[in-house]
Amino acid sequence: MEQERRTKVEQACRTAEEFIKHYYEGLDRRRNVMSRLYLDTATLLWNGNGIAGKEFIQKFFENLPSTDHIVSSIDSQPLTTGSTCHFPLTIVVSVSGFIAFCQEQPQAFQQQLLITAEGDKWKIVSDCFRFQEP
Amino acid sequence: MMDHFMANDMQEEQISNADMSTIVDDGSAITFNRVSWLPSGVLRNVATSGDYWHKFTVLRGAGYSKLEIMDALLDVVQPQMIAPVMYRREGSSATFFARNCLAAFLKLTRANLQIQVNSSGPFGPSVQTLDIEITLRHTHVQDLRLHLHDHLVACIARRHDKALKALDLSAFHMDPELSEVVFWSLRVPKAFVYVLNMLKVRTSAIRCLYLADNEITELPKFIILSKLEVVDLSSNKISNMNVLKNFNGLNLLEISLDRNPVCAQYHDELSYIQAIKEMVPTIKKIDGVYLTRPEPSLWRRNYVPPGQSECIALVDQFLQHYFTLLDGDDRQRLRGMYHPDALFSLTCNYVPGQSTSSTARLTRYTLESRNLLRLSDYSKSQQLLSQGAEEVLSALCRLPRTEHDPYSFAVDLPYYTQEIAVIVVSGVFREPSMMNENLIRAFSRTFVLHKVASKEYQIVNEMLTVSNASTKQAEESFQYPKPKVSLAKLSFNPAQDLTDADRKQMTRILSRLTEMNQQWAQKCLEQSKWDIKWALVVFTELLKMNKLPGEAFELEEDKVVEKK
Repeated sequence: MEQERRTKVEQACRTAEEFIKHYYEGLDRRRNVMSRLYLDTATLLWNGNGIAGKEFIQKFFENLPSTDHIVSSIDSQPLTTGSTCHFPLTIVVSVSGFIAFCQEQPQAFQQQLLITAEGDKWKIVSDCFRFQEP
Repeated sequence: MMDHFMANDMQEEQISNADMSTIVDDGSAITFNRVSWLPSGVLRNVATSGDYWHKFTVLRGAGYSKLEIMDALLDVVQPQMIAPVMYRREGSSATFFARNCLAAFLKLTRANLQIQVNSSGPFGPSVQTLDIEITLRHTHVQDLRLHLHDHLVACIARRHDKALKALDLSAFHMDPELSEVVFWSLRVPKAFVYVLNMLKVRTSAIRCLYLADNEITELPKFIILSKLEVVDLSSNKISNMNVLKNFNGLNLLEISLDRNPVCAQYHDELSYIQAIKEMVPTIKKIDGVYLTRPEPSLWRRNYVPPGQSECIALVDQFLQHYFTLLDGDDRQRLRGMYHPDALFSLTCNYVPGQSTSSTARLTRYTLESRNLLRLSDYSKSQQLLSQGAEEVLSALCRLPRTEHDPYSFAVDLPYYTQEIAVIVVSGVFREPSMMNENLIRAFSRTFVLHKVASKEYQIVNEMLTVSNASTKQAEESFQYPKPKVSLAKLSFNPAQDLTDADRKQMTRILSRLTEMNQQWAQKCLEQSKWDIKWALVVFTELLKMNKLPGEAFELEEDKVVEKK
């Protein structure tokens, strides 16, 4: 039980680091395939604006000006007890860093992702992004 | 001065001895046209004598406007230099003079000495082919002195507004005074460069440059105009964004590019703007519009999934409860809110360049910070993760005392179902430090809640991010005095579905539980928005702080004066 939990925690760390790397690389360099990282029913919250569904999320990213992200920190936890029956293997990831649009001044941001295993791929259930400063 | 241009344009042509013998070198004029044309070798020899004006006759050209003829001529001759002067109509023909234009000649001869004139006649737009006859060495320069350079200098001086530091070169070829003398079009690259070089003496006095309506396709390098900030290139023929590279090295702030063919290449505003910004990164205003922050939408304070308004009240209560206890002096009281197997971790980040940066003092957080990017191996990650309610509470109690500013909160509900709710709260809190100053922090707290009863949630996962607040956050926080029993200010009000009977009953219950009289029980409930559990918390707090007067416990009948 104890060991099982430790393993879950470690797996959450590994998965999170790798996933986050892909995520920001996609956002900065390969925007056009961002939707592959999301579940069909995923939601994205961007500074309080809600976007539901993979297609609309893709469209949102395509309209976003080009970005450069610097990730300062990543933290992750596995969802344990009472994890949803829909998503048995789910991880919550918390990211902080800086984002710069089109060579403007970088701004501090925080982002939380809920990711789950769909088959052999990890996909985003919900994505919540906010600038530190409104 | 113009002679220097031509040197590089000499096309290499073989001149046979036989041809040379037919050249009449006595200075007399030679006329040729499409039918009786000269071999280019001969042409080159004769035409390079800079002492003569050559006459061009556009047969049947009188029926067209000067601009139509000139455009047609430049279409053939482009990008070679030609500066037609003395444009006139002679009978049915249009005539003009030019000199030092060998390269232009050669292009014309290769086009069979014909130009295609675009005009709009009574039956719509049409294209006419017209023949040109050229008479070399028509007039000696001594007989036709024009001092083009001086005319250009005067023209530029007229169009230079010294006060506004603006130079207006729009529709340059149509300048009324200049065009009487010469047709000098900026669409001809060498003509443009020539004018630009003339500005060398006044570069510090040019901040704005207007170049509209010049049929420009190419641009020279503008680096000599070191103070240039504003450029108007609207209504031209630019078809490639790359031409903007010629502004490299300048601090260009404003540009107008509308009504150029290049605009049609971009299907939406955003890609158009991005393309321009790529070429001119310093740009702040495009086509008369300031570029705003690149957010596609407004920043909104809170987000709740549509159609889920019943969760608003629950989230409201949860946050009120949580942050009141978190800011209180005994964080162990948060125990009831955590699931036995709860997890908690925090990360700490440093934001440079803010008013809070130099005095951040985030050590107590950095010690507990769990940043996967900084861990050498994952075993450390286990230590930094508090596992189980007991560990979580210890961790929370280790962290410094806090006071959160509920008015700074932004609340997001990215995921909500019957079993699980994910809440993300961001905002600002302050930390009293040893030096009696308040350290202001920005935070983001993610809760994963699991529903344990019909209206009860327990925290299963919690992740905290702390950093020093931004300058703006530090300045604008803690403006409003917090209500004594803190309430997170959310933009919605909890549903008030209680009837009077409900309220009366709650009052009775609370009164019995606390031994307060009904009046005070009611007050308590009113303050806690009719949440009995919350009212109990309030009651306990007030009791501890000795804020409940004796009269709260007096039986109603004993009162002498009825208080309202």
